Amino acid sequence: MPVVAEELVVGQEITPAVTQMTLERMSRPLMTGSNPIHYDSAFARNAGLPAPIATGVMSSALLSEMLTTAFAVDWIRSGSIDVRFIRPIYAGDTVTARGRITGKSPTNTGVRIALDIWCEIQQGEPVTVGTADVVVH
Amino acid sequence: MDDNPSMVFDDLSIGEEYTDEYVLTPEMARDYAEGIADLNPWYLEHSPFGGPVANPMLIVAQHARLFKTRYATGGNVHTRHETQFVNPARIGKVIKVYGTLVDKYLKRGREYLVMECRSVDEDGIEICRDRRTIIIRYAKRPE
Repeated sequence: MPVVAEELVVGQEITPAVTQMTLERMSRPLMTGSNPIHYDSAFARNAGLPAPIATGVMSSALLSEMLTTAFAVDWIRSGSIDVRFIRPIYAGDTVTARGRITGKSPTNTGVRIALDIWCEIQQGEPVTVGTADVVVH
Repeated sequence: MDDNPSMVFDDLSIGEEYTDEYVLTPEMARDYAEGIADLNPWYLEHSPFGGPVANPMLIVAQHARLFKTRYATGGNVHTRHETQFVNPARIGKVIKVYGTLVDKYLKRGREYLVMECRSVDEDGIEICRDRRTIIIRYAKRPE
């Protein structure tokens, strides 16, 4: 369904996306880039971590899934994202991506929507934080 | 076994360039979709752009391979990325990836690198560009 910019309101939260990180998914070669910190417990301990950590891009992917649901083709054609990975995500964590609209401004081709976006784990602790924007046509 | 030399922070030069290319296959799209548990049919069957397109973060994730084209690396940790999506990446296309090391610094005993990257398909259509920050290894640099 097309996104209608007029219906979007500053302060509005978009529909969250939720996933559970599993070591099976974290360990896939396409996810890890063959980096053992994402699947090898001994390697992670030697690096000072209690367990393997999910790649940051896995939480970005959850944010992108949320933004694709909200903004459809406009996200893929004009989305931008700036995120920091502030705490690790471990296997078994339930991760929720959230977003809140912070601004609307007209452009030559549509309306630019700015958002605060973040991922949090089960206790509500933020693990990934940043901003996004997209031009809704 | 990786025959490339180990990445040594002190030896890296700002401006160093990296290139890579790969075919964006349906198998890759499915494996990624299953890996992140996002089985949107746009990535597997059909999309509003015509045929299937890649999950945009799949293209971004491949930028992490650039350092591996030149160095043996392991234990890098990604700390930030600033990414702009420009066009959908169509399944079946060859994707060319270009990167440049634009900054490096030490912070709290850890070695940081900043790389700017872009992905372009075989027709010259730009897919996305990003600026990514990584720690070379999570363990702190020896005093």
